[in-house]
Amino acid sequence: MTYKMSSVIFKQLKYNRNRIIVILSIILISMILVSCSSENSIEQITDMPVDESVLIENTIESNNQPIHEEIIEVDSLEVIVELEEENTKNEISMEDAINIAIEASGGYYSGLKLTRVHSYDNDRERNIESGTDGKREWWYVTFGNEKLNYVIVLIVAGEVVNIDAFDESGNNGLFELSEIKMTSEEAVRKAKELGLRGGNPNNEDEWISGYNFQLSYESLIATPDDKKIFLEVIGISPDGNFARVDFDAMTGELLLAEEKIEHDNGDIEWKGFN
Amino acid sequence: MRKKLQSIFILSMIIVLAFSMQAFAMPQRGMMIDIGGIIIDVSQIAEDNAVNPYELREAIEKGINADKVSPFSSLDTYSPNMIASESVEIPLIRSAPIKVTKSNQDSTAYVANSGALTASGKTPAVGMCAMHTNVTTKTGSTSSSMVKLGTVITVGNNTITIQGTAYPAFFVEDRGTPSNRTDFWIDLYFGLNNTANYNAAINYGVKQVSYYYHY
Repeated sequence: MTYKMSSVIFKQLKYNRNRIIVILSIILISMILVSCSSENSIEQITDMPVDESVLIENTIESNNQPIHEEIIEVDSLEVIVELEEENTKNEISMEDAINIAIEASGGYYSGLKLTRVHSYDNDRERNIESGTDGKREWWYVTFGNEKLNYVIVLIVAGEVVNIDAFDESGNNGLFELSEIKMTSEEAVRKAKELGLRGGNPNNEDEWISGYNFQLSYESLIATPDDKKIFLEVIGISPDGNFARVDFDAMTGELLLAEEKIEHDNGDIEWKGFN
Repeated sequence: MRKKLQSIFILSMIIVLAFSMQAFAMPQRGMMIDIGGIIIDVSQIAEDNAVNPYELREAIEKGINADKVSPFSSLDTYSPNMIASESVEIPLIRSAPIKVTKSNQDSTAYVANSGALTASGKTPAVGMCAMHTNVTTKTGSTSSSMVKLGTVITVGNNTITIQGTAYPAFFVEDRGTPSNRTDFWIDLYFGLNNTANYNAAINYGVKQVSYYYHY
C-alpha cells in the first residue's frame, strides 16, 4: 500500500517536475521577502524607570548651508607684529576681572547677575607660576538673569576684548559679587598651603599652566542638591596629578582637595590629597 | 537511477523549504526598541544619521547602564558630510585673542550617571561639553587639537536646545577620545542618564555644527 502510494507520488512528480520546481521557488522567494519586511516586533530592552518629565525634542537650528572658509595664512601676522608695540603681560585678579566685566555688560540686559567666572589658560607665555598671586591674564566672566538672557565677557590683559550676548541660554545659578567673601589671592594661598602647585606648561600631561580659577554654583557628589558657590583653584597635587581645591566662596570654608588618579586600565579616580 | 536522483532532489527541496519556514516563523530581532516606555526606531535614526543600524542598536544597549554614554561617538558615518574646515581671524594687536572658527564639525550628545565627573573633576552640568584632543582622527591627521582649560565655544545663533532651553555657548570641561569623528568634534552633555535624557541624546544623533572660540 505504502509502496503503491509512493510510486503514484513519484510518477506525478516525474510528470509535473518542472511545475513543482517553479512553485517551490516562488514559495521560497516569498518567504525571503516576508523576512525582510519592516514590521518587526517591539522588544523590551530594559525596565528603566519612566520619569514624569516629558520627552522634549532637542533640535539644532541651522540654515543648513554648507560653510567652507579658507585658512588664512599666518605669515602676515609677523609683519603686523613688527609694526605694533609689544604688550607686556598684564595679569589681574578675579575680582578686578568681575568689576571690569560688570561695567562692560551693563548695557545689554537688565538684572544681570554673575553665573560663572573662570580663568582661561591661554597665556601667550605660559608659566608654572601664573596665578600664584591669584591673578591671570585671561578671564571669562559670564552673566545671566531670570529671563535667561546671557552675556559672556572675555577679558585679556585687563581689557575687554570680546562680548557675546544672547537672548536665551540656560545657566547653573546666579549670584552677586557682594556674596563672594573670598578673593582669588586668598584661595590660591590656602591651596598652596595644602600642597597644590602650578601646572608645568612643558609637561603636556598636566594640561594646565600655573594655577587656574573658577567661580560658579556647584555641589558635592555626596550632596548633589546642596549647591554652593564654589571658588576653585586648579593646579597639580604634591604627587604630580591634576588636582583641584574648592572653597565655599561665601564663607571661605574648605570643601574639598582632590587629585585625579588615572589608572593603567583607564579607570579614573578622584581622591583627597591633603 | 535517474528517478532516484530526481526524487532525492525534490525531497531535499521540501526539507529545505520546511526548515526555512520554521526559521522565518521565529521572532525577528527587530529595530524598534523600548527604553523605559519610549519607543525608538533604531532603523530610522540610523538612516537619518547615516550609521549602521546594528552598530547603533548595540551602542544603545551597551549605554543604558554605562557611567557615561555617547551613543554615536564611536559609530562611523557613511554619508558624504559637508567638509569640515577652519578659519582664523588674526587681530592687529598681538595680545588680542585670535578667533578660530571651526566649521561643519561633528557634534554628538552624551549622558552620565550621577557621580560621574568630567576630566576636570566637575559634576557635569548642561552647558558643558567635551572636546577630543591629540587623537588620530578619521582624516588620518594627528593635529594637536589640545584645547586649553577654560575654553568657551560659541555656536552663536545656531543654538542647541537641551531639555527645552537653548544654549548658544558651552564650556569645555571634558576631553574624549573617540574615533570616526571630525578633528574638532564636540560631545554635548544632555543631563543625567535617565529615560528622557538618554532618548534625547539618541535622537540628537550626529549633527554638524560650526562654532568659534578665542585662542
